[in-house]
Amino acid sequence: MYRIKDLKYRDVYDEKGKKLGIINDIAIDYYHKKVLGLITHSKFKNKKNFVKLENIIAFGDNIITKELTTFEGIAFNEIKNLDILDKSGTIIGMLEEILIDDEDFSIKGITTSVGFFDKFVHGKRILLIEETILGEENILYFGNLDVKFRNMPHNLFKKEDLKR
Amino acid sequence: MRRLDRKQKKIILTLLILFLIGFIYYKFKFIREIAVALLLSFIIAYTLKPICKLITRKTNLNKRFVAAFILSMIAIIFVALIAIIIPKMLSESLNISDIIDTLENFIVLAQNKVKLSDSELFTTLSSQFSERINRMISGYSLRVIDGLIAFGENIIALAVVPVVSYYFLTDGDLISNKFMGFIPINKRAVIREFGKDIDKILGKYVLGQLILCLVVGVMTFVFMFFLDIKFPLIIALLNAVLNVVPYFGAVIGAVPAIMIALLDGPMKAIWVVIAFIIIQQIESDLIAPQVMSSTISIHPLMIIVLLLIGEKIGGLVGMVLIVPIAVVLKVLYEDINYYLF
Repeated sequence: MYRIKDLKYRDVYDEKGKKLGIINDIAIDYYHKKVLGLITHSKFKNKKNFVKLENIIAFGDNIITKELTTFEGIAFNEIKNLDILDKSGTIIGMLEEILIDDEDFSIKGITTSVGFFDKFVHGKRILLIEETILGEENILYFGNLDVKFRNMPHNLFKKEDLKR
Repeated sequence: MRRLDRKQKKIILTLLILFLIGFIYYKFKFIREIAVALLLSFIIAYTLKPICKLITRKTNLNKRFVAAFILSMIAIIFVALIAIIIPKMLSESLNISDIIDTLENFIVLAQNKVKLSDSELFTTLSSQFSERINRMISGYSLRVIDGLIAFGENIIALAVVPVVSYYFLTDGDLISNKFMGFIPINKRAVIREFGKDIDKILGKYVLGQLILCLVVGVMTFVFMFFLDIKFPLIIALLNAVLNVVPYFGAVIGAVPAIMIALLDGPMKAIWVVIAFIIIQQIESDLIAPQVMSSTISIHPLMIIVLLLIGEKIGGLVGMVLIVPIAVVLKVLYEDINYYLF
């Protein structure tokens, strides 16, 4: 399972070894719950900053791609921190992370945080993405409010976490 | 007293050690000097590390050779600056009083033009104002002289700084590995990840700042040269160095340039102001966003607040250091956010 933080800041190279930029963002298709590709930040404000998922040749700590293309659509940074509302309009939290399947790069769920410091106390909630709708200003969650997936803080130094 | 469990014992022990270190630090002045010298060398080495890596990669020379070369270059430039500036300033110091006289004449001229000097309020205000400026200038020059004397006192520590920086540059990785020995094994990998992230982001910040300062320095030199202002090199260097302070650096750097320009008359001073505004605009609107934007995701308002706090805590040095410190803290928060869940 990838989180946004896993994918950010990886270097992107082309086939000849030239560095194309650094991953800054991901491009998502919210309706079809897929990641379409990665968005780089290069030195010049380039329109061609999109690494299509199909163009990626190698994926590791460094990413090798065939070429950069242009992208139109939603990037994660645009919808980050949107409020998530339930059916009665109360705010459940803010969109913080997206959980991505590492095999097929589909989006499985979203993580909401309740506050900068509260989240360390109350944990974060995980919502299944098929139970949410992305709107202009908010995200609607219409799933079952009584079933809550929580992501609780644990010991910072657990052995299983030491692999990134 | 009930028996303390292991965790509480560890906490108490760490607190005691920290308290002891702080106590020694405050009690013994020489420890403070050593610490400051070490910190300065570390900062210099960290700033130069990206340049060193770049040159080593592009020219395939030995790393030690490159490090020694860079440091000796900087040391030579530093010594040369001092050897040139101090005699020049001493010979031109008579002109400082000229500058102040010109300023006074200028103000008197302005007063006569505006014909307000008949009003008593204005005369009181202007005399208060000039007295304040006199005190400010004398206080400032006293501080400069005190600083120079302190500089001379610490000359031994300062001679050590280039050498220590060299060792930090070449053997920095070894040193940090050794340092990891202080941290218990199960925590070591996570702390190392923290360190890697901090290093990545700080490295980008430092590199971005260096490029920006270079650009500002070159532009300032070109402008000053064409406007025929005295000491173009020194003003350019001063402005380049002060550029690390966001927003305020340009203002502080403009002041000496304006004062020197006033020597040649108010017209020159106005040109200088315009030139500085142009330089600042080009740098902050065109170049800085390209170089810095993706890494420093701190809102500009926050940066201004941080600068004010930094100035209160540590003066000019505080303003320069507080943005990197804030960046490090932000990276730490995000990493803790990541690893805790």
